Amino acid sequence: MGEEKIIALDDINITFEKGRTYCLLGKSGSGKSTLLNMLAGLEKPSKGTILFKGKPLEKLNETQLALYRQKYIGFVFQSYNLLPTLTALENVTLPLIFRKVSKKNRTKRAKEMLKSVGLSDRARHKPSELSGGQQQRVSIARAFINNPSVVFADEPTGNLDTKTTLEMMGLITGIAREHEQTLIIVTHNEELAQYADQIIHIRDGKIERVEDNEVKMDVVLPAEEK
Amino acid sequence: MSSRDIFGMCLRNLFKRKLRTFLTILGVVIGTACIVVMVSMGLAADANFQKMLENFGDITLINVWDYSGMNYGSTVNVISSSQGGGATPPKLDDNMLAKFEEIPGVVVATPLERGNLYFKSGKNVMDGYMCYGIKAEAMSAMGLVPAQGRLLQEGDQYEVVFGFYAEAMFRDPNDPNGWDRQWMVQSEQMEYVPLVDIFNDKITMSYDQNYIWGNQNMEQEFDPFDENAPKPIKPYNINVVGLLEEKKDSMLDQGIFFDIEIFKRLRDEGQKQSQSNNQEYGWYSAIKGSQQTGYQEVYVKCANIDVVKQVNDKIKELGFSSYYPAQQVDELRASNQSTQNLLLGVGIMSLIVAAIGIANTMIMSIYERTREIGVMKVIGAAIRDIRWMFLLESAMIGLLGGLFGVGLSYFASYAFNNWGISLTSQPGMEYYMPEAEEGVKNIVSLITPWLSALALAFASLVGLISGYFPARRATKLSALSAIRTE
Repeated sequence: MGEEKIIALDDINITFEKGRTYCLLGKSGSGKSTLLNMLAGLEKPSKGTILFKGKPLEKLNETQLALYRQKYIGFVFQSYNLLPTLTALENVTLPLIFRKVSKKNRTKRAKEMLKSVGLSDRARHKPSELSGGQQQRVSIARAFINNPSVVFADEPTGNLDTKTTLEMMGLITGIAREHEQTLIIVTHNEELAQYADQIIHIRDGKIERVEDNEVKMDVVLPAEEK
Repeated sequence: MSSRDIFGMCLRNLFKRKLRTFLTILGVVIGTACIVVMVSMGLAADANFQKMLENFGDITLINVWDYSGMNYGSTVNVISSSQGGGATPPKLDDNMLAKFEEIPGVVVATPLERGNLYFKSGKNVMDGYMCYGIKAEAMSAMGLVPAQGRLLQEGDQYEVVFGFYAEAMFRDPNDPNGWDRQWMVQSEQMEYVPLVDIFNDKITMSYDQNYIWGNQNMEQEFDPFDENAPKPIKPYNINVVGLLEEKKDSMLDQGIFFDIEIFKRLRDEGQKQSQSNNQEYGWYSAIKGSQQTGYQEVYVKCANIDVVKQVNDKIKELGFSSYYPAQQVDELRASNQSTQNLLLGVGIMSLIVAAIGIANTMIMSIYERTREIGVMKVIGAAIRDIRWMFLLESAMIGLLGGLFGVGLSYFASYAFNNWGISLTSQPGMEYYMPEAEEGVKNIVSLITPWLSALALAFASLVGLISGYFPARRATKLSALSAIRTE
């Protein structure tokens, strides 16, 4: 049972600025997911520090980390990760439930969010009754409902077709920009990287290069319902 | 996360896995029902014993007797009390009563002498009727309460007090149904119409049975010129001063009470007469020729139930046979308790199995929901929220199981009580509680509100405890591995 030391990340030093969109671009196994997990407070670095608003994340205890996730970050997953027992509306309210927001307020807020992702008419549906794109919209609404400072999107379009991918990316970047939220997209897809202000190439746990993306893709697609 | 939201979430999860939830709950239902039914049987037995005690009459009374030296006709029935080793056996006399009364906890000690007397009022008679001689001042301590008139007072002579049913015991000797009538009144199968107005009609009494039955006989046999011929015995006029309330004690309810002093005098007189007339006068034949100077039977009234055993032991030390009603009940109760304990053990076993079932269900549920738990953690669920979500879920299984279990127990209890199913035998109960007796029915199972409440709390607690380790496991799940895409 010899323990092999694997260095997932090495010599990383990045600063994410408020309101900008970043892309962590790298192949599978490059360490980009590990980096994302550390930024989200899910994993602690064995060395080094991650500062959020000047405070080291790795020093927080579980309760403080839960609070950090509740208030400051949003998460969009590749596989949507909606709770199957809850309706779309309830899935969106979930982060507010953890924050003990009253039922009236959180339902109101969730309805607004669903509307802005164009899913008002699906509020009462269970995830199993929604298409992949619709599920991802719910997931996006859930990520943004807390009005977080940072939203992480982990391969947000990995399971979606091209058209839906365009829609989703437009939606995510649109909302983030509108509320001046930092968006960090993690992907291996170079096309998605085009939505970011800055592309961080990661390879073998190291930052290969940081590329400012001048020619940003601006996609304006009206949501299905407005 | 507010407790209301946790609750809602937990209900939803339970409902989503209907079949599994149902099966798990079923385990708890069976366990709870087992325990509740078993305990309810114990409670029922206790309630029955309680009723039994009430039927026994006063449970603070100790019955002391001394039949030594008594000769019942040809039957020698001697209960030996002379363990003193050569010393003269103790006598149950007034001195001894005074000694009894010195025992701490004793309120009063009274003899209860018995004798059969013959009453007549107009054409109605009571023959060989059981009468009692009692200390006048002990009547109220014995729990006798006058329904009409008063109790005996010191100095009463031919003033007597009738027991509740004694009034009905007059019968017309020419009425062929006279005896049946008495019996029917007593067993409450017939409305009671007194033949004699005991307070106003003239009633006469004698210890001589010939007074009622042998009149013609007597006239023939009575020879005024023969000095050795039996002399006619003069009847006494009695004056009824009180009628007692019902005591539910057949002995006392049917009795007629005399002051002990006059009763002793009647006895001595009867004894003398029977010797000089060479006649047997009813009951007095029993003590003919005995050197009876003490009482045969004495009742000792104790201040409360707690001292009864103690007082009883003291009386036994003084060399008498004694008995108190609770004695037998204590023995019955003990033998019943062991059966109950065994059954309760079975119930607890089945609840333990149910607890393992809950734990298993919860652990499976956690494996299934690993991903869910991870997602919830990532979007901000606190450890506390996760823990309570699972704890509450298992507690709910316990509570629901408890609820249905208690419901099932009520049904089972109803079935046992009404359809005559009995799982435990209660030895001796039938003897003491004949079913016909005044509609008092032996209950098999008795569920009290506190038993249901306790069962509910216990089942929930079992759920909570069996959910503890699974819940802890859930909180320790790494959010990271949970959300990792497959």
